[in-house]
Amino acid sequence: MKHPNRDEWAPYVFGEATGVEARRLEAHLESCAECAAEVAGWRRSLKMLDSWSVPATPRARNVITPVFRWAVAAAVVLAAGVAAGRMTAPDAKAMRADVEASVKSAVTAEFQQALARSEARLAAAAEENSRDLLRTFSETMEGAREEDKQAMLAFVQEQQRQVDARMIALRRDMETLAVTADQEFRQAKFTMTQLAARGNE
Amino acid sequence: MARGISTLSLLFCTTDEQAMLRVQTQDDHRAFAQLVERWEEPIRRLCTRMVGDAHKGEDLKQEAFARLFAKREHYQPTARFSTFLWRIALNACYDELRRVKRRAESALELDGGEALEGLDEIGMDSDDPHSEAAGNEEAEMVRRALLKLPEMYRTVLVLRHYEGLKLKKIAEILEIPEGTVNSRMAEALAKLTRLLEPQFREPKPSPPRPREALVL
Repeated sequence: MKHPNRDEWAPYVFGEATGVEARRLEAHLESCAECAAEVAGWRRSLKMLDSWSVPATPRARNVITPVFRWAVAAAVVLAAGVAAGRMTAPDAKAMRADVEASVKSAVTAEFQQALARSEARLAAAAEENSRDLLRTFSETMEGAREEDKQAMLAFVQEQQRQVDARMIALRRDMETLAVTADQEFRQAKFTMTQLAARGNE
Repeated sequence: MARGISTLSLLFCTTDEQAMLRVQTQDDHRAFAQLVERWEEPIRRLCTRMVGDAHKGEDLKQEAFARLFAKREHYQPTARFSTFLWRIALNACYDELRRVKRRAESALELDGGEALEGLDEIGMDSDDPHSEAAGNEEAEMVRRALLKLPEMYRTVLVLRHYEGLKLKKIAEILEIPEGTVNSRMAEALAKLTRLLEPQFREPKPSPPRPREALVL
């Protein structure tokens, strides 16, 4: 009996052989105990391979996926809400005109108020500034005047001291002169007395 | 395609090829993260089964994505992204297997070159307590049997049976004719059956019966 080539069996065993090939090989197996035993052995081996399983590693995605699902669900609900709102909305043009007008007037009023507030603030600030300047000027002037006064007083006191010193010196001179004159007068008187006595003698 | 991607996120995501193009042209880290998220599980499974160790499988997955980013310039926008990535991951696995083999060889040389017969049984002695195979006798047997298969046979089996890739796609990834994939697959199945056959014949040990109490 002519056996099929060995490599013909691989596609057959894994179910990849074409219909014609598969029928031919099956017919051979029915008539050839040797090939049938070999193929049966192969099938048993393949079945036994299934006993060795490699467990899957736990993955972080299992934790993330529910969050992602919730996020998508929330997005869908939001989109549905927006769509429903748009569909049931009143005339958009009229509403826009109303809104524009009211917004415009509100903005104008607000702007004017803000302008008035700014002006008042500016005026108050200017007044305050002027007052400060005046105060500073007067303080400066007062300080200068006080300095002048002090200087003048010091000058007068110095002059007074000098005059007093001169007067004291003059008086001392006068007294000296008087004492000298008195002595000389006494001496003259004594001399005259002696002369008078001598004349009487 | 990675399983478990929610319908909502699919609505917003791009194809793998578009994302890879962004990574290539703009270094887009968000696109790269998207690719990692989609592909990390299949790549981790492939690496784990190729080296028979869940920890190494995890490391090799990281290595494969690091290589993917490093080799982004080599990606051809006309090619399928998945083919490019499977190829990178397989090469990372082959490199690791070669490293382990070299280490084992040098260790044997130090021992005086004795007992070279165990070289093709890389990972046989490594118990992987984190694998599903641990604690499941049949699964452990499968793990060991797959590791005993030469890499080229293990590759086609893992890609076809566990990752569900068509034989044509496997030929594209491995850059070999489809006929070669078919013959490798037949050889892989024959070898695997020879390794597992004793288990089919062995009757499963029945639990020991409680000894009957002697009636005096």
